[in-house]
Amino acid sequence: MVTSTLHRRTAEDVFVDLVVYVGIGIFSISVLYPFWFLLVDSFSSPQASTTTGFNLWPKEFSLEPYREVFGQRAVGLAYFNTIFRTVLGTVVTVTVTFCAAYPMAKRDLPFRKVITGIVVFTLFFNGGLIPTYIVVRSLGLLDTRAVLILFFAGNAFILIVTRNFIYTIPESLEESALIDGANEITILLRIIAPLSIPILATITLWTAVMHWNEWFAAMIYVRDPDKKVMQLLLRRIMLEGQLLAEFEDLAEEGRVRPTDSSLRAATLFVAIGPIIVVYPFIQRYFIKGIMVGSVKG
Amino acid sequence: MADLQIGPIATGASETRRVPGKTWWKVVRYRYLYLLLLPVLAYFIVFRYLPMFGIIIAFKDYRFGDGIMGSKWAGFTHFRDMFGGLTFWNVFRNTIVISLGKLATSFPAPILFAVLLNEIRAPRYKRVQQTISYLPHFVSWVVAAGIVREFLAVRGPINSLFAVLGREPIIFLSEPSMFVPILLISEVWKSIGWDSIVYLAAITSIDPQLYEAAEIDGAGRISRIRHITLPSLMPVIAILFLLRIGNILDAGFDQIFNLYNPLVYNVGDIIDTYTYRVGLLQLDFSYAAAVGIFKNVLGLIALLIVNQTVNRVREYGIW
Repeated sequence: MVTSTLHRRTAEDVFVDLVVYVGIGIFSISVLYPFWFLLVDSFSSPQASTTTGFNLWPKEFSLEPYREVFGQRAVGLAYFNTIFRTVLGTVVTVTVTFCAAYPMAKRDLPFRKVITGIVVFTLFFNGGLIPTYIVVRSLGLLDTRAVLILFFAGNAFILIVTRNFIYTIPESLEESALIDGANEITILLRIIAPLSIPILATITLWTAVMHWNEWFAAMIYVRDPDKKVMQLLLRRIMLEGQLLAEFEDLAEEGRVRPTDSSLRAATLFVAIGPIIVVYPFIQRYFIKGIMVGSVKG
Repeated sequence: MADLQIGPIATGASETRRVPGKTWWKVVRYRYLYLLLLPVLAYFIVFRYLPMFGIIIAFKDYRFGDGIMGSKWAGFTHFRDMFGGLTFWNVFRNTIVISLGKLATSFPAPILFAVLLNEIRAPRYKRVQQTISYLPHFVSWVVAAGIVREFLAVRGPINSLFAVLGREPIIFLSEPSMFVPILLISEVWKSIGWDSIVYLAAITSIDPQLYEAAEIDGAGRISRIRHITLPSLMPVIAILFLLRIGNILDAGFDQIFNLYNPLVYNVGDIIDTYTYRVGLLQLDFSYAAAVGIFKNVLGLIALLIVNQTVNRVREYGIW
């Protein structure tokens, strides 16, 4: 960035370049290699993958692990459950947040500060794991699909960020509509919503990625195996060593099956595939969030 | 209904105290706006404030059948048990040790990364490197822990390397002396790229004239980093450092929970994992709630002190 155009490159310039390029190169290899060796394993034939180690390329390329993983009932079910909570959960959170952000941005709304206070306080203090669990259980939400959607319906940080965005929309735009006799809900839909598309896109992506990756609430609130999300299936297989319990028909006779390690690797990539594909394109929406968050909490 | 519970807090209202009649007229006029607020308020009351009220179970012997109100009072028994027990203090120490360890490693790492990245002159190469560095941020700790586990497995890459060097394989995740280092390294791996974003943004806001002037005065690249880049980052570094201190009791539940096992509880069990196990596995709700409160109250105090300090730093511009 700070190129020296004034004079020739000094020995120091060359030295810094060397350190920087080599350092950054080593860094990105160490970020990627842990993903890469699993990817290699997931594309290895049953015979080859028994000899794992420092492989840079599949010894015998094979789609068998993926064929096996996609054939599993547990995987299909978990995938459906994850997509279900991600889509519905995102719709609910974004709708609820947007509806509330508009009044909270209204400068002369009575009790606005109190309401903001109620929201912001939760960023500093919460009841803790156990009381929260007891409340959810008392509401009869355990083992329902609804709990994963309702539990994340509100989010103080996202709400404040959205409110701050709506703040920047000039009030004069609304006033003309008010004179025409439109009520606030009409204004929200006709005037505020179209102008808020950038922030809506941002919070939609945040919420969707959050739902896709969320596992803790799913683990404690939803024990029903048929409602298990992908993250938890992955947890069972990768961290609890329950591959055989989850993949029921593996014991079938006379079939050469992929090794456990390549099945685990394939399941992992099935779970994170969509994220890996989209994250380079959506990262800038997330970066915007960091900036907003660090400017005003 | 539930709205009544926020009443007492609401009396602290400011802003609209002038003419009471006028305020209520406005409330009526803005009735649709309050309607729009209703779902979020209901959410926060049910899922955030009811649990705060539920904290009282820490002072009771909670049994699900009796409900929160019906359960018998226990006074400070659970707190006495907690402070009197060896496990709690061990867990507390682990939390602080792991947190401080992370402060010493994954806090400076992104600063170094941002400074190095800033020295790359090819914009496309820089962008690719940045994007790569964000990847671990976009996967959960379930995935990251799965990767760590396979990486450190007996037949994984590290142990294969050991085999080539003629060393015995190590079962890393069952080795107490290895556990904290594994946490620190994997934390850096997962967070370094993403956490560098703030610093990179701060670097781009440095006035280029400073660099030009320094160059004319004969400053080399290293001294420009030392005397311009790093000092310009100091305010951001200071504020982020303080915020990290405010969260000192969060040693990283997601990471530890997905990596630990009973063999390393002695060094790896933290307040959050302990609360989970005691509360939701052993079903000792009241005791676990007491541990949880201890952490949350201490955390709140730390956060408030830190926020005060951050505001002061921002106001007076110490740097």
